[in-house]
Amino acid sequence: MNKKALLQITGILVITLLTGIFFNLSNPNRIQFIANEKIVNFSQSDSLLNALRIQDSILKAADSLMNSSNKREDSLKLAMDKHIQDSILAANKTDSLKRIHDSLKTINQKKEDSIKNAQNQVQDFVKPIDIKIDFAKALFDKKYRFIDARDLSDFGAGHIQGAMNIPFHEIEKYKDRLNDLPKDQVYVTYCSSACDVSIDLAYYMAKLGFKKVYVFHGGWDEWKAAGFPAN
Amino acid sequence: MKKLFENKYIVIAARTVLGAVFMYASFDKMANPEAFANIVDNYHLLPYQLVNALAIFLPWLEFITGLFLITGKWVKASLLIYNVLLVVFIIALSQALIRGLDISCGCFSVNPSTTSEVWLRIIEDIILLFFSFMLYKYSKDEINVSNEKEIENKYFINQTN
Repeated sequence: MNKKALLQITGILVITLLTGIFFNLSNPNRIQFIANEKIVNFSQSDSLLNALRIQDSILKAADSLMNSSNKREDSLKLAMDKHIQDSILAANKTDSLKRIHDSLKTINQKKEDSIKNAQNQVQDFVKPIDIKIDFAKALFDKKYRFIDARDLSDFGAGHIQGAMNIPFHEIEKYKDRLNDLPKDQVYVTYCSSACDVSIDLAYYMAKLGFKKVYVFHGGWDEWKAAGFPAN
Repeated sequence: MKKLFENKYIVIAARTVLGAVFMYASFDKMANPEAFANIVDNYHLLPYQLVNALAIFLPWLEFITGLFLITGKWVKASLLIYNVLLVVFIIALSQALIRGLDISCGCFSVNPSTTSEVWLRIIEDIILLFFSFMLYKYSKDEINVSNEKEIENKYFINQTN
């Protein structure tokens, strides 16, 4: 290679560099020059599993609170009825009835707040998070929706029990299936194990507005090896 | 074969086709750099820090190389870059095929639904590489009709002197 050719190659590379920088800066779809790493944060998996357990216990506590408050509500109702009857007899007791009614309202409000708090214990997230098989199984047991991002033929050959198939390579074709799903539910995407389509699908879903998307990184291979429910 | 690639009309036609292929391949990637970056990342060949940079500059390198080939400027340099790029593409596709990676090629479109058989793309690239290598080997630099005529005229003037 002579000097002239080297100069010309350098020229082409410089023109490429300049036009690339200029076009990317002026492009509405521009991207960062240095990419961020795709999230593979397994450490959160354990804390999320704990959060799920805490959510369970809080929900149970909320249920028992609701039951006890319902009982209290019944007894208060009875008391109120009695008071109503009494008030017919004694008009001066109206004030005390009002007070009972107010306290009933306060109890109901507290009950609703405690349920809301319990539901908010599990952190909402927008970015997909990688999870290990134990957390995936916990989510499976809680009947959360699993989404298989592999192609139709791979899905047909075997998949996690109850999973729905949305092949990421044909995402435009299956987009409607995603749009039909409620966006505030928990979803778990997976593929085989040596693949990225589950991550791509999870990010795609996050961009569509899905708030709770997990990526089961071990995928179908790990699930099958563990002998968990499959079709 | 040598005679074939020394024919100026065949050379111009081949250069135009090769250039057009690269230019066409670059358009969708330029318009959707993020989608192309995802495809590049799925090949698992580069550290993630370099993925976006490649997704930004590679389509432009294809476009400019294709443009120079069609216009007949800096032909040897363009062909050399063309050959190197094709070899890189063939290696990337082959390793994906061997490792059984479930990827979209990203050759002409960044739409994941436009999947094509990877081995077909490898064959396409090998055919392109054959023609571009032959052009590089046998063609002269800055080949175009006007240059050829200038050379002939100079030769004629020298002879008459």
